Amino acid sequence: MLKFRFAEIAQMCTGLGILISVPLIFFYGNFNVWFFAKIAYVLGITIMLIKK
Amino acid sequence: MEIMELVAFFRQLGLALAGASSLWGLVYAIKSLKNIGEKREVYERFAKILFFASMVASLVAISAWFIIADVAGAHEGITLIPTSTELTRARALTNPLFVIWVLGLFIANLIFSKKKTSRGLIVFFSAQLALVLTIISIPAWTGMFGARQLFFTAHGFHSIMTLGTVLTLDILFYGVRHKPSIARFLAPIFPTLSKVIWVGLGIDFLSVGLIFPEALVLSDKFFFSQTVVGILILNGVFLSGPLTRKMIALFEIGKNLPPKLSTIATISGTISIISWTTITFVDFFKNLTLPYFALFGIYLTIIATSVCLYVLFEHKRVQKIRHV
Repeated sequence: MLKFRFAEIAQMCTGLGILISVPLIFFYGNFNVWFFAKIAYVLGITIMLIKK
Repeated sequence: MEIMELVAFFRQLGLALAGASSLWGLVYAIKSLKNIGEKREVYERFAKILFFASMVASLVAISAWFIIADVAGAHEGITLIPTSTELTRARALTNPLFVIWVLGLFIANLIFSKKKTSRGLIVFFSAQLALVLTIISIPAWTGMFGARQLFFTAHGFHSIMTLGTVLTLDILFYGVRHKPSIARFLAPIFPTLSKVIWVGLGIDFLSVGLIFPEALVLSDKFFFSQTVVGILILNGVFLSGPLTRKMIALFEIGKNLPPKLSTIATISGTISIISWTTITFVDFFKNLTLPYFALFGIYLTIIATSVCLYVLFEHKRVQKIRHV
């Protein structure tokens, strides 16, 4: 059984966020989820680098 | 789709792999000097594999440079087109570096054709990395270090951390995947490699959407690239997380990957390498007008074909071993 860590689940959420944002931008021109997912990704990476 | 755009893509691919294989070759050459016995030998072997990969990638990049027209693009569907003046300036800056690179490679080939020592490889990889990093960071030159230049620079060098590192990892892993005694020395570096790839993607995100909203063009290419980025992250988490931990655990006790896990790792690795190549490839073609579902269909077909070919070759290899 493959287990995921908390940070990995959070990372997956950013990936899902980008995927979900594609129809949101296409149909509604809504960039909120897209920007939020990208900012969350960058923040997540920064925390990953700080935390050893 | 124009032939020169294809050449530009190969230049970027060659530069990314030459840079990444030099970076990780340097790491292994240093590690081989710091260790003794079996470890030293294995690390030196990795460095030599990467020396070869670096040479081939350099040849691809240099060949493309000889015939290239000035084309530059972004890597996730977001484009800021450089002006012809910016491209001409960049070419004037990088041309002497390419000449130095060709001469350097020629000399390195003469020196290393007899014997490759770790110390010699450290010098080679350091020089190669410094050159490639400079060249790839100047796809266009605005004349000053501003936000626009930061966009071009970040878009250039992040390829070493993303596309190049993924390719390097695959080259190393492919070379040792059926040799657990050697693979156990490779596995510990997987988490570090993954971090570098994640950071590279983060740099790409920072340099585009968060700096230049005007660079967003809502084309099918943009939507397709964003879909691939989403898939890339999901697959990357799976590959660099639980799958890598499982592989490390197995390699540490000298075991090979079980067939099921090996197939999963292959599919995941294939998705990773094809996704990175795809988002770089797509953005080098300014006039690519295929609709979203056509692009996505081609992308899925390439992944499916690659996996099928791997399974076929693997099946033949196992049958060959059984006959022997």
